[in-house]
Amino acid sequence: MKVIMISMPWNLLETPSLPLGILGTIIRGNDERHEVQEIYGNISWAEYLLSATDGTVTPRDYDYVANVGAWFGMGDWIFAPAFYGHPDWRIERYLEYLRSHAIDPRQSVRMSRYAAGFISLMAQQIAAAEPELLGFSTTFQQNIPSLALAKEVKRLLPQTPIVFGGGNCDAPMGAALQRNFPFVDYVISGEAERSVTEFMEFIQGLRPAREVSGLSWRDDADRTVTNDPGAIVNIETVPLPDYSQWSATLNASSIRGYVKPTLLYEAARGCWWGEKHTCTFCGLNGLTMKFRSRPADQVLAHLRDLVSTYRVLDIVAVDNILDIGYLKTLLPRLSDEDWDLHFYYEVKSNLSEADVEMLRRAGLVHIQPGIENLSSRVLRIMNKGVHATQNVRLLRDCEDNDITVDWNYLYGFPAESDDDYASVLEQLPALAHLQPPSGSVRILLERYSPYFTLPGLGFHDRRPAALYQHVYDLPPAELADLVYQFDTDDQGIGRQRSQQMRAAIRAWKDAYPASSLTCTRLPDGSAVITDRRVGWPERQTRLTPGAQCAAYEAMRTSRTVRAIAGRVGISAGQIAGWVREWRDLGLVFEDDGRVVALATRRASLKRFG
Amino acid sequence: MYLTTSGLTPAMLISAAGAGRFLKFIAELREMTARGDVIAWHAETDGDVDLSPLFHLCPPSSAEPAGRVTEWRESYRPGLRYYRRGPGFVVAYDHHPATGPREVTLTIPSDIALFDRLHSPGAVPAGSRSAARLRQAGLLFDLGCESVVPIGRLRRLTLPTNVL
Repeated sequence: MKVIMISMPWNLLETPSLPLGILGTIIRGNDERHEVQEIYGNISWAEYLLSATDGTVTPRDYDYVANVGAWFGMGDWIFAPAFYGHPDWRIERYLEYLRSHAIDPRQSVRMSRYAAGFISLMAQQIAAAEPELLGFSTTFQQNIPSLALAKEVKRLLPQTPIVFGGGNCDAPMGAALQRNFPFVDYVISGEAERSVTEFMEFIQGLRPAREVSGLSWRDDADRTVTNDPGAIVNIETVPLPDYSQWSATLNASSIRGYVKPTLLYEAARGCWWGEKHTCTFCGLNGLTMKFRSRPADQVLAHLRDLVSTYRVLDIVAVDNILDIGYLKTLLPRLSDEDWDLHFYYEVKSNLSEADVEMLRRAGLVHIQPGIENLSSRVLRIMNKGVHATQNVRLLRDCEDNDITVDWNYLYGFPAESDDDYASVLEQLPALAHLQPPSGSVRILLERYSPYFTLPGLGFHDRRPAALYQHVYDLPPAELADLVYQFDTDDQGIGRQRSQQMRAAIRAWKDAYPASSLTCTRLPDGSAVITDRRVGWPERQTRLTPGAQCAAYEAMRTSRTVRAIAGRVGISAGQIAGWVREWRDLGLVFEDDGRVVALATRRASLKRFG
Repeated sequence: MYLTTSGLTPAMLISAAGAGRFLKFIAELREMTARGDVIAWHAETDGDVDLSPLFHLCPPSSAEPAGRVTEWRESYRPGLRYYRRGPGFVVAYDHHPATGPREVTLTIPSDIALFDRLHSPGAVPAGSRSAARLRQAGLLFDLGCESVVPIGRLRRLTLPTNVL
C-alpha cells in the first residue's frame, strides 16, 4: 500500500516530525510492501514563500508565525482564505484581534495571498503520486493548513481515504474534526503507535472500524462513531524514529541556509509529578498523564544512532518532564561520552546544585523548568510542589553552569492577591544577574487542565478563545468541542499589579546582560561578594571567616533561618540579623520563611553583555 | 611581530625562527579562551602577519602599535568560533560577523586525526590532503613551517544558548 504522511505548516523548520518518524517506521515494519512517503509541507511552504516573493518572505518570517503567532491563531488564519475559498476571509476581524493584543501581523497577510496557490500545487503533486492512504499529523496551528490541503486532495482523489491524528485530535477534539469536516474520513485520537497498525489492517479490510482504538469514523447512517482509546503504550516498544526523509528534504532545500537542524527525541511520556499533583493550569498530557520512560540503555543507544546518522548535535527532548531517575542512570553515562550534545529538556525546578551540575555535564544546556512564579503561596495555589526560594536557587545554579533557562512569569490564579506579589516586586532588582523570564503573562485556560475540568477551582465561565473566531466558521457547540484554549473572566491580580510586574520584568531583562554578582572564597577563609549588578552600587562585601561565611554557604540551599543556625552552630537571632543585612544589600532572596543566597560562584558569559 | 603577555607566557619574537613559540602561545590562548578565562596580555607587532584568523580568541588588552588590534578588540565576544564533537565527527562553527555564520563538519578519519594532532603546534605533512581540507575550512593557522588549530572545543557556553 502506498501511504503518504504529511506534516504541514507550522511545524518548526528546524525539527523533523516525531509522529511521522515513528509511525512511518511502524508501518514499514509491519509490512515491507508498504511504501511510506513523508511530505514536509512546512518546508515546502517556506520554500514556496521564498521563491514566490523573490526572497522577501523568508524562513525568519515563518518562524515568527510558528513561534509568536501560535498564541494568536496567526498560522491557522493564514490558510483560512485558502480553506474557505475567500481571499479576505475575516481579515478585518483577524487584524482587529491582533491590534487588541498589540501583536504585529508582519508578513502574515501577505503570506495568506500565497496560501491558495500553494495548497493547489501541493494537492496536484500528491494526486500525481496516487497514494492509497493520506495521513495528516496535526498539532497546534496545523489544523487549518491540513484541512485546506485535505479538502483539495479529496476533490482530486475522492476515493483516497484521509486520516488525521496528532495532539489536535485528542478526544473530544478529534471527533469534532471528523464530524465537521466530511472530507476527513477518519481521525485517530490518542497515542497512535498501536492504533496505526490496527488502522492499516482496517484499511486493508482485515478488521472492522470498530476495532481500531480511538478511531472516529462514520457508520452506515453517516453518524460519527468514536471508539474507546486503547491501552496506553509501553514506551519501550516505541521504535527509534526514522528521520531520513526529513534530513534529505531539508538538506536539499533552498531554505537550508536559514535553518539549524535539530533532532527530536522522546525518552518519556506523561508526567510523574502530574500523576500525583497536576499543576492546576496545565493541559499537557491530555488523556495520558501516566508517566513512562525508556530504560537508560535504550536512550543511549537511540541517541548514538540518531546523532551518528544525521550528524546533528542539538536535540530537543519532547518529554514533558525529565525522568528524575535519569540523574543517576542516563545522565552520568551521557557525561562519560566524549560528545558535545546540547539538549533542550523540560525539568522540575526543585533540583539540587549537584543535579544542575549533572545536567550541564550531560549536555542539558537549555531547560524549561516550569518556574512560573516567585511567590511560594502562588506556587502552592498552582500545585507546583516547589518553594519560591528553590526556583531562585535553580536560576542561580543555572547561571553558574552556563545553562539557559526558559520561563515565563505566570499570574492570574484564583485566590492569589496583590500581597503575594509585593515582596517579589521588592526583591526582583536583586535578581538582575540571573536569567529573567521571557515575559509576564496571564494564564490561559487549557482543555484537560484541572482549572478546565473542575470549574469549582475558580474558572466557572468559559468560552472558546477569541482567536478561534478568525480561524473557524462553526456553531458554538462544535467549536467548544474542537478547540484547546478558552477565554474566561480574569482571576487573581488586577490590571495595576500585573502592569507593575511587567514593568519590573522589563527592567530585569534590561539589567541582566551587564549584571553579575559573584562570591569568591579567599585563602584566609573569608569570602568577597563582588556586586556588578545594574541598578546597584558597584561594591565588594566581605564575609568574615567562620560563622558568617558558613552561614552564607549554607544559604546556597533554600533553608529556614533556624535550619541555617543549626548547621552553623550559632543563634537564630544572629542569622536573622545577617539575613536582614544581606537582604538590604540584595545578597539573598527571602520568601515564606526560607532564604537563599544569590551570589554565583563565577560570572556567566553573556552573549549581549 | 613581537608578542608579549602578562602573566601567561614570556615575550616572544614572531619570525620564521620563532613561529613555534608563537603558535604554542596561540594554543594556550585558545584553551584559556574556551574556558572563559580573563586574560590580560600585550601584543607587539611589527610585521604583516594576518591576525584576522585569531579574532575569535581573547584579544590583547594592549598593543603596540595599538591600531593593529583595534578591529580584533572591537569585534571580539565569547563564543565566536569553536568546535563540538560527536560520535565519529567534528562540527566547527563560525559565528564571526566577518566570516560566518558557517558550519563545517569533519567526517574523514584522517582529517579528524590531523585536526586533533594539530591542537599542539606542529609541522604539516607535505602534500597532505587532510591539511588542505582543514586549511580550506579555516581550521589551521599557519606560520613558518608549522600550524596550529586556532579554534577551541566548546567548554563555557554563552547565555543564552538556544537549542530550540
